[in-house]
Amino acid sequence: MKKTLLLALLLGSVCMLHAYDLKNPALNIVEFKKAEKHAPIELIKNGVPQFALIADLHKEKGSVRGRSLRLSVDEWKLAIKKGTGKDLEVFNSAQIPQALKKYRYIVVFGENDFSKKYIDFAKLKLEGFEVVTVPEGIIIAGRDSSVDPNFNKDPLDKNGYVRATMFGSYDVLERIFGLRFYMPGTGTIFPKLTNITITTPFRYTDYPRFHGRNGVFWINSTMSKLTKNSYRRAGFIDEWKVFLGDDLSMKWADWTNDRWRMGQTRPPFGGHDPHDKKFPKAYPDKLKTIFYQSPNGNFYYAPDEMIGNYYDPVNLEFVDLLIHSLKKYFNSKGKINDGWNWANNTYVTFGLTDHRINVADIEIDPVVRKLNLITDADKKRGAPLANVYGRFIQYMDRQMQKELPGKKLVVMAYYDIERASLDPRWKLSQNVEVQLCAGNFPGLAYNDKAFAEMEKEMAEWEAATGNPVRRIYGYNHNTNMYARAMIPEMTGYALKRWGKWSERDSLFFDHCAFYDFWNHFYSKYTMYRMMWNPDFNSDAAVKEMFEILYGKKASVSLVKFYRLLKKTFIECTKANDLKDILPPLTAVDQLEKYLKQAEKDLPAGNEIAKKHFQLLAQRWPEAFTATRTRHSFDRKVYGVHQLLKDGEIKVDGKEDAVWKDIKPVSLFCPYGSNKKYDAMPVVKLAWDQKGIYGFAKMPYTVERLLTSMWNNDHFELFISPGAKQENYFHLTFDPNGHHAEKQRRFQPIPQPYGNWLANGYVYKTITGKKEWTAEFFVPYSAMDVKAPAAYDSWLANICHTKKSGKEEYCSSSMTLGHNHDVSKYSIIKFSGKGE
Amino acid sequence: MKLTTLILSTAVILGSTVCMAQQKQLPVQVTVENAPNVYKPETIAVRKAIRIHNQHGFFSFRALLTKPNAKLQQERKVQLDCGNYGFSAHVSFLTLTVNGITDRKLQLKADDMVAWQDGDKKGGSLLYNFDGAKLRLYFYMRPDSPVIWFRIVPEKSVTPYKSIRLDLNCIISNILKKNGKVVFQGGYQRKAQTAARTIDQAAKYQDLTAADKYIAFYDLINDGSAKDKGQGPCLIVLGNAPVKSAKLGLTDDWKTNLRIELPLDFKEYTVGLWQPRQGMSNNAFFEKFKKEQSAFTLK
Repeated sequence: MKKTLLLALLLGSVCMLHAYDLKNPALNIVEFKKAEKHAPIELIKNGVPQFALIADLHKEKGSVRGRSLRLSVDEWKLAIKKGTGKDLEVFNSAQIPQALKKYRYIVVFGENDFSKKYIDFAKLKLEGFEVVTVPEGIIIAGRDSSVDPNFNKDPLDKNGYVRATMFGSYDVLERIFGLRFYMPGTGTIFPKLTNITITTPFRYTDYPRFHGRNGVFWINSTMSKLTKNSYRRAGFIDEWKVFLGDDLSMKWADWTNDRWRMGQTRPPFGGHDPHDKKFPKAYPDKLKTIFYQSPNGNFYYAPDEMIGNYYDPVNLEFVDLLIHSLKKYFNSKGKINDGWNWANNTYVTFGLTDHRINVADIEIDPVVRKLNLITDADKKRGAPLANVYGRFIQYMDRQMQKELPGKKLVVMAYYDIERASLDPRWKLSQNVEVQLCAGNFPGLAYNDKAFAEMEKEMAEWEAATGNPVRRIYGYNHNTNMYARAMIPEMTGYALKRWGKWSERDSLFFDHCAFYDFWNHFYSKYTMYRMMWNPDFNSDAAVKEMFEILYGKKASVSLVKFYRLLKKTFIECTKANDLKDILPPLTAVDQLEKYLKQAEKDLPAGNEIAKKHFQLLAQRWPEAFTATRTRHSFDRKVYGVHQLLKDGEIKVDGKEDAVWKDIKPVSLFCPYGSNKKYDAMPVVKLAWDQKGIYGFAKMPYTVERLLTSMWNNDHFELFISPGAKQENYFHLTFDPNGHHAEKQRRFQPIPQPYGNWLANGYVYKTITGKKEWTAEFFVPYSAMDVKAPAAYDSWLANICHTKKSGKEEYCSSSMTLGHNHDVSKYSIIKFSGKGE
Repeated sequence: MKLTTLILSTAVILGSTVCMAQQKQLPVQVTVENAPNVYKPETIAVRKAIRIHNQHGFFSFRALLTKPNAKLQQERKVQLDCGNYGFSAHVSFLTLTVNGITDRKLQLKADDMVAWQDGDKKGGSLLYNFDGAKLRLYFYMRPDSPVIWFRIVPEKSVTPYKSIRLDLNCIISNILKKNGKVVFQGGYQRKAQTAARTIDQAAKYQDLTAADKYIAFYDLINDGSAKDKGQGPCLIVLGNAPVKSAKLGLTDDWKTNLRIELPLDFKEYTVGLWQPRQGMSNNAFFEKFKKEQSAFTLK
């Protein structure tokens, strides 16, 4: 009796294991159509596959990554091998009769004479596929670029691969065989396959609503080795092996990119083009044509820095130079390339450098003044340079139509070029397409005001060009853990609000960092699914995911955790921007409880589940601490020591006697984590009637000697005179002689961040064996302010970034990493004499 | 009969005087509180109090530094725990302004205020640094008096004094209310009794002279005679040291101000403050003041 019961239970569990739900809400939403009639198909019987694969692999051409049939075959072979231990045999479509002699069934991939009998390929959408069961087995097929002889015939076509069959093959592996591709390594679920029978015939089809679903760079980065020169210092492969197994390699990046159904069919479209370091090298005698020089002498050319260059948007001779360069590029089939990363036979992108210009520097330009390009109305709407760029783009478009007919001009609407011109003089043609960089997309999908602002920006561009905005370049938050975990999850709703999918190309999501990429795997996974179809049910997917990864019991708390996280993020962002997400403490307490409970409920002895839990939970303790710290944090007030007449400081980088008795400014984690630092700098400030002095001692060995200051150890001081947050000045230097002086004004007329002449500012550094020290002096006159009175308060932020050895970053203000957010700066109070 | 009565009366008076003299005054007690209870503690960055008490009464002198407000300004304050009105925490009861710098702007460190004693006088001291021009404020009680005394003394400074001003503020007895709202101006009937005269309310500041050795403030409306009649009078005992000027702002306002300018070469200046913590009628106050002259006299 007992044996019978045990057997029944065992059989039941096996059946459960291989039961499939065609309409599983955790999977992509597919459209079911009229099925063929046939008897049940026993694909796997008692652990033995009953089918062969059919694929015309010999017809595929081009890069391995673009070969849809090959990738389908390889993935199916792998899945079956892992599930049954057996190898699948592969035949081409001409060999189907032989295959059917040897095997009961076939699984047919791609377009061939057999599949054409069942599928009308002409009706399939781009990247769309159809899956149909037939008496002989299953057909999975779509139109693939790898078998299209005309695909990318010209190397400058640069079209993206179309791998429709591959997407269909993944869908069947998930839907019927139960595979799940949550993460690389142990996060990919290959179930044991004993008996799989298709009992009911079916036919379904699916296609991606957006043809750009691109996270390749980010996933590849996480599967890369840390290189010596990498400026990103975390999130590389070795860190993920701890949680996902030693098997991780770049191969897993390729797999995951495909399994997450990434794609990019449109040719490259939008970017920083031409490259602002390469282009001037091609025209070294034309630097002043290429980069903007203000009549006041401010020249926006910084060859050694990551940022600092600024293409001249006023000088139309620069456009002529761009066209000249592009003609060389196209005439040579791309062989003569002055720095065009994106140009192709369909699109030429102009994307400004990663920098802003100080409006004051361009407002005085004679051309700008003569044409009245900068208006008060544009300043008021936050688009002071809209006409400057409207004129530039219009001219470039016209020249392109003349000199490079058939190619569209793509504008990367970003920074100073973010807003379209509303001036009819600068109306653009439909030859211009736009990629809009929207910092709040998809993060503020639930913030009606912010979303309306984005819609307004899009409407302006659509009115200016007559074309829909094809692509949004969206962003994650850099640092806030709640945001980083949940912004990807907002993708579905954001894309639904964006609408008009058939006119769009994509949301390109910039993860902004990959140090925590796999910690939030659940929302990354759902995000790319939602790029495929914004209606994807992420809640159902995550529920199933947690049940599979963590077991039913632990999944209960984890699902609650995920849902509360999502709810909290939505509540936090409904009326606020992304800068300042601060969940209520009640939510933090509850989230923490859910994680603790889940840890207790993990299946005993399941080391993989434990590792996956550690991966998910890894960063939350620090985030919870930071939230609690922020709730209880008061703005810091630091006294600036007043120098007496005999306390003069010689700025030589040495710790003069006067510094010895001055109380240092306390630096801390600007995210509120309360973490301890290995190399906490000592920073002291002093003042007199001439200016502000500083001394800093950084207690570590300088190892980074790169040309870019931002990638070296560096010290930063932000000063905002007074307490009204009208402007700020930003000084940066590294121990290797690099420095930058910048400023930004908010009132009375907002000015973007730009160069600051900083007359009279001096700094000096000394690099020792185990430390580097710095001394600096900032005169009030350089900031155009009078000397403060004793007890006056200003705002300031002191930051230190250590790149040598273990990376560390600390600050004197709880800026949450937003060094330029004056509202969060600490107060420096100019002390009276003798204090 | 008359003689007998006289002798008896004299005996009683002498006897009671001898008793008073013989009665031992208990020593003053001082307690330093590093985190005293304050109103809205979440807005305070630094707080410290010194509680002084003797058998006649007690005061708690608090020094506070607020956290930066919305305009990012901090404020240094001193407060006296002494009841609801008079020199209470509802007013800046004592403000020093040196060289044009008000003490509200100064920083405060917890160790700026320490316990202090000189013989049987016990209390604390608080350092003020007006951009290099330093003063120290001693606050203390004597065993024989309910008065809290404040003595201002120059400290070694790197900046010379250009002006030194002491402001004493109080709310005499109570505030007026109309329709539930505080009346800040108009309708008050306050008076000041000095050693030399009675001063009435006036629109302008009135000069005091050396003869005005003390000022007892009282209110004719809120005369302290009942629970709803305010806290009653309060007293300032003025020091003997010369001052540059002393002006009284006894206006028709909720708050009364006494402004004393000290000479730049002053050696010290002392004032005493008293008010009955539980309230007292005008009559009872003056009777007590008259009876216990010695207790209300600077020594």
